[in-house]
Amino acid sequence: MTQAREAILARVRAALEHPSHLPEAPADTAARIAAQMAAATPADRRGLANQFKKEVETVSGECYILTSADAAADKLIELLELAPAAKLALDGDPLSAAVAAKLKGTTHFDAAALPPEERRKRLPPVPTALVTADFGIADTGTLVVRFDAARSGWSHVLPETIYTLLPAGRLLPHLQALVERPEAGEFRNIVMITGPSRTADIEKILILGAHGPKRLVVLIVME
Amino acid sequence: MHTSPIHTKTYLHEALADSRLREAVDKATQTALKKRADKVEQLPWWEELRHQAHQTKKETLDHLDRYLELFEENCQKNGIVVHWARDAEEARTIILELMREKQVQSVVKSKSLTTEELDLNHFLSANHIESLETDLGEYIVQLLDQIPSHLTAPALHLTRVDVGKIFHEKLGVPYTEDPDALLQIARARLREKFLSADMGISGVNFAMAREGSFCVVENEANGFLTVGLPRIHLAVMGIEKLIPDLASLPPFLKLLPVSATGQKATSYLHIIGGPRRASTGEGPEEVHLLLLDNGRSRILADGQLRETLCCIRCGACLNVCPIYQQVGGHAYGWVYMGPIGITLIPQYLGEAEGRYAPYLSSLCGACFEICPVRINIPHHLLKLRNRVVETGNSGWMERLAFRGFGWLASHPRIYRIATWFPGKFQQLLPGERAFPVPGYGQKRALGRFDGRGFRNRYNSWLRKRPQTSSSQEKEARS
Repeated sequence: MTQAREAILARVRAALEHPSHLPEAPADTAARIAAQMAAATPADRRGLANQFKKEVETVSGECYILTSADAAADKLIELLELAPAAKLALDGDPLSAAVAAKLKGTTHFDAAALPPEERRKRLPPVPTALVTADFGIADTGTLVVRFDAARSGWSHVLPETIYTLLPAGRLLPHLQALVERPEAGEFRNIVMITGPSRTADIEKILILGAHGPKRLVVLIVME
Repeated sequence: MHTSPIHTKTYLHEALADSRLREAVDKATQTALKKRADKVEQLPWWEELRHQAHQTKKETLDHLDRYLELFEENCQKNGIVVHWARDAEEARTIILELMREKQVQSVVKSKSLTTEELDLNHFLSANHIESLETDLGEYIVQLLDQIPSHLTAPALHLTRVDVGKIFHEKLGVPYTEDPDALLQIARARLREKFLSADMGISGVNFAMAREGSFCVVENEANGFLTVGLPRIHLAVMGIEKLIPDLASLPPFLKLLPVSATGQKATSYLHIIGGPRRASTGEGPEEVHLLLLDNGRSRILADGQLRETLCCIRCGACLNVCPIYQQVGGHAYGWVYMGPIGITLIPQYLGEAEGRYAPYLSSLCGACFEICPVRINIPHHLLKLRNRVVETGNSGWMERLAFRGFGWLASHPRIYRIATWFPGKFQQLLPGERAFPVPGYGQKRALGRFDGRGFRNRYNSWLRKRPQTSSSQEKEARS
């Protein structure tokens, strides 16, 4: 391997002795992007929530903007009446647990409390999960889930229907704002989710629920 | 099928004769183009993003040695095992040794063009390791033992009727052409495999040198299951996939999904920065990363053609290409197809094997206009055509024809006689028939020579031209 490594690096160094003829971008490119992105960014949290909702709905997700965790629980009760779930998988996040505690007539289990092997077996057959996202990206309707946190990321993807709680304070205008956060250097394993899983591999016909969830419901909690 | 460009001519003839293929390709490419255009309209800073992405790639490629070393160092800090392979054979050997050491019996794969360069599925199968593609399009073409016909839509050349028949014949399920039902069949079969596979293999869309992490984009969640469930993960990455850091990533994540599928963001984006953390216990126990050269350093050595390494494999240039729209992806005979493919084929495989590739273009420039990282494909194609000629790989008839034309064009009197002769000779042919041209004339009509020639027509036009301009000039002067 060392031989291959040294050989490749030597080839690359030799190649780079030839001058590059790739054109340079105009000097003000980054500034122009920043200015236009800033102009398109909503001014406040409510604006970000509205933008997030619009984008998530564009990609066949559902989204509700709710005033508090209690209102989120009420909304969930209403949604579960329409699509009953005998058992909910939770991701181990305190907010998911707090909202789940308010639901009557639904049993739930904390996936993060199970050993990983047990979790692998129990999560896929569970049709519904209640989870909490680390961040939301408003301009694309994207949920961000860090695998470094002490909770189950699998529960965001393995069940067929996912109810995701998103505190409005975690809404960011765009991806650039996420990677520029001070703690971004510590991000290691992350999944970003935009709408339910999908495929258009047969005649470009869109079908939801490819290998992941068929239904994604986001509950933005403004409080 | 043979995945070699030496069969290009045969594939082209077959593709041009297949109207069903053209219909499928046309429908898919037009849908993709329309969706892309809608999304580009929503991003007024699209052109700036293209410039920025090109600049980032330029920065990385022009200092690739430095970024490779930095990336390796940071991957190792994160617990990722880094392997290096000079070519496809070395890569296959490394992968097989790793699998034997870790007692890997079964593999699930998410879509990766770089592993197609290695012909990995056939290689693993020959070594008694089950390797299953999990992206729906890849799964379908694997059942047919084909290679993908598009960079992002592998089964673009097939209709739902084709897929229904394939599933019925290969999987023994009742025939259906309902896309949803077909997906459910694939999903049920693959879910079992995700849970039991020993290793997941993916490609890499972008790798961040400063963070020592890499990302994989996808829509189906098969990538999530490939990366997340098996105990070992192996990512195979071309050395050109590097970018400096995480902060450089956002423009690419805007450009790629819009260009590829007309989405503002892909459904799933995974950033993988090492094996599972003790806090969650989720994810692979080991993460391995294979850095593949396989001809890339040779491409890097040309200061102009280096730009072809900027490609982010979105497939937009395929969708917009009038040639690809007619013949689909298999006619190109290798892993990469369409406008970017024909720049890469002779560079990866050599001018002898890839001699036809640079000519599969009308040089209309649509590929450059649509490319999200501003690769000037037509410009590079001219250079590659020149190389084919300079290395003596153009056909003897073509060489003879151009030598003859060059001589004629530099001898005006003889040229005049030579161009006068066919028009006159044609009058000997019965009716309105044109000269028979072997090959060309089989499927299309060659127009008849005018008989007068351009020079005569031009002189006659000059004589008949209204004298307005010169008379006006005279009036103005007086």
